[in-house]
Amino acid sequence: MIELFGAEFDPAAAPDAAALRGYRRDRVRDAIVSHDLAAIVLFNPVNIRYACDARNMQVYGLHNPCRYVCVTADGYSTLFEFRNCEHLSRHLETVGEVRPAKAWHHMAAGPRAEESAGAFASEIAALVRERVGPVAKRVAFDRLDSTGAAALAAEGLIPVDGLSLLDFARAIKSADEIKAMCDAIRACEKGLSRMQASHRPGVTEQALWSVLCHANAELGGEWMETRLLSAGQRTNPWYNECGDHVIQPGDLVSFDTDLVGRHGYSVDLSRCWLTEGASATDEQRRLHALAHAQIHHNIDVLKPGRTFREVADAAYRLPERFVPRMNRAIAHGIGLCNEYPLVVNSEYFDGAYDGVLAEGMVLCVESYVGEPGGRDGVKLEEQVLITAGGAVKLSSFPFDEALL
Amino acid sequence: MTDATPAAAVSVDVHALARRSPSVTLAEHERQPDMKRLRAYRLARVQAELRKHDYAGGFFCDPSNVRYATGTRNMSVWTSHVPARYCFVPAQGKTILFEFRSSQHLADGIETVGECRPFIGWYYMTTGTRQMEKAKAFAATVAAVVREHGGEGKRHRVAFDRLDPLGLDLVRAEGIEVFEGEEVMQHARAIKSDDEIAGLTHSLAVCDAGIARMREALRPGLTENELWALLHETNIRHGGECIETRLFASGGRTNPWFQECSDRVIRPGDLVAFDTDMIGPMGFCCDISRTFHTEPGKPNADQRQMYALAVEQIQHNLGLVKAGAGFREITEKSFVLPEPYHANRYANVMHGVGLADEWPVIVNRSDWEARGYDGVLEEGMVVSIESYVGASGGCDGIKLEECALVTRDGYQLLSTFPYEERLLG
Repeated sequence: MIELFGAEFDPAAAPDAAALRGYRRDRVRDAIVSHDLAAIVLFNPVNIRYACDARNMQVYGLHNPCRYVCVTADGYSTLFEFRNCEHLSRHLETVGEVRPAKAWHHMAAGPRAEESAGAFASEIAALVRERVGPVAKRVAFDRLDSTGAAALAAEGLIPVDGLSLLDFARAIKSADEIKAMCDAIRACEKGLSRMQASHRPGVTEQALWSVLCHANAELGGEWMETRLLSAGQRTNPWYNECGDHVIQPGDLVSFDTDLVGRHGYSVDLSRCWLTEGASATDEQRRLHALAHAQIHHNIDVLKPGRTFREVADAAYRLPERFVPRMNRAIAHGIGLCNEYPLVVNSEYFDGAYDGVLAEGMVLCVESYVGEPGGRDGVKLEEQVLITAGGAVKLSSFPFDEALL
Repeated sequence: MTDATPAAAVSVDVHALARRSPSVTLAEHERQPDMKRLRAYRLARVQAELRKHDYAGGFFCDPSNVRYATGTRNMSVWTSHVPARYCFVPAQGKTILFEFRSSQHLADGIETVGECRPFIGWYYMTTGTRQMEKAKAFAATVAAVVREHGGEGKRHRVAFDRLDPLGLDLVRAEGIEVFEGEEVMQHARAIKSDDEIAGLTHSLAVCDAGIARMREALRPGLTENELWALLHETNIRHGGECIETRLFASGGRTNPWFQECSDRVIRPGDLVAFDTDMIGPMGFCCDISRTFHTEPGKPNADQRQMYALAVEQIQHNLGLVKAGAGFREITEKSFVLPEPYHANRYANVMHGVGLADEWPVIVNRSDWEARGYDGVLEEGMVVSIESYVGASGGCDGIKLEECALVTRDGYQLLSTFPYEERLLG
């Protein structure tokens, strides 16, 4: 039961796509206005998606700045789209108009980078003059290189960092966003069930991971951000990517889904499973019990109004031997991908930042338990919504009975 | 059909290299790709480019650049958009990897990495209200590393492939001149070594296997997503990395091109067209397009005509591939699609490929003025040759694409998946 959105809220209902888009567009516009900006220009396809819901070759666009959207302070979005792709966003009421993008990264423009960047900058400057007025100068960017910055300066615009305001805008979710996310989570959990059915000694890490990748694509999900599945001694330390290691009887298999699923929403769950053919060792059960306790303790600590420092102070304490390799984060925000905030454990707090938890945030609560020199590592993670009454789990996939 | 002069026929067996793709299980009794040599070759190419521009070094953040320069990999898709790791490549000597804090062990034993340090990121999610402080720390680290490698007390020229507004100002304030890192990397990456070609042919073999699975499974009643998922599964199962796009469409969704795959149910007689855009094993990009016809039934005359045109366009443009050919010359001689297909033409004639789509992009004749740039194809470059044929307002279209190595005599086709007899006939 999610109280945040009223008694009528049904997480299993279909999201209202137009309402979802409108909410996100308004969040971006409000952020532009409150930061006294003329406009924001976004290149990261995840940010473009948030601002106007246009989607096109997302992974390719993560590393090729080939398309962008300019949202002016009046809330109007001009989408500068990859060539011949105008038809992809025709149905979106959040896109005011579509124009061809002026790309100037080296592959696209070669020696004509300055010319293309100049054309880009003059078009942005004209949009700002036309829609915001002649004195507005400050334009925020989520990424920009030195050539682009020089071209903007030549047009009299002042480029400023836009990631902070966008990440902050994205942090609070609407009811439709939660419905979309729950739909993405259900699809991911279907994939996890299939993975569990394929999990046995003799399969490789890659073969097991491919089951989730297959399910995500088949069920309308978009991409996998990482390849974090490992087995046996490769589970410790964490962050080994899946390989052709053959899974053995009694191996722990730990993984982190890190996927961008249906509707473009991220599902970031971690589980650890025992491989059949040997019973769990005491140490394996101990690691799993600690990770399980850490996550559930920390979920209970998350309340709206609490500062990150207060959360860190009240967070679960792992035994000393696991501290060197424990997850730095207690929890991090999630939406269309990993995002603000990052709430870290007290050991690391001096290097981190403070802030306040708020209703409507969705957080992934993390645990990794494995000691230096140890064989096994357990990775667990749950996705929760912050409500007035506390954190509510959005994921429901069970933990491995054999390790509980 | 075309007013360009067809290129001279290639005299060598254009499939020979693809047929010699390597086995990948470690074996002592046959010649295999040498990964240490591959890493050394790549680092040397980056450093030669840095010296050519008189740069003290370069900071690289794009995961394909980090992989190229150092031979390391970490959460490649996530770090494509979140600048969570960088490498520093000095004009000479070993690299410094500024690696995601908890992943220091991933570069163990990689001989191109002289040192691995935790990266102090300054993207908003990790820094929040302390972004300025962290960005300043980043700039100070950059300055210290550059001075250490380039000497004290002078103004240093340094290439960056990504440096967002806040960092740009702070790095400049440290007295560093900032230049475009993408230019350095794209030119370094353009010429492939024998070891890279061997790796790429292996990756393409995995891609071909995925295409074969989709073709075998194709029947009415499946959704686009269900078929496309087979390529994902095959890629990951064989150690591949990710798929960059979702360009798989059927029936009326094949025209115009670039519609992403959906839960549309495939019907008899549908064309099914896709572009693999697959980052496969060892990070090699496999960029192949094919179009199938869904049985029962035979392709109609329109479908066959479009298919024949697409094959003709690809074959004509492949014939222009040869070391020494100029980009402008290729543009001028390239196949011109007749109306009603010209308006929907693909965005380019061919483009480089390696660890991703790469420099150069060679455009169609009618796009030269707006977007064309000149250069010369060199031996060892790999290019993807593109075609999309679909009438303006038409209800379907054909996408084809081949991958070829540029040689002294012409080209070697690295993609081997055959064309469709039924669409050719």
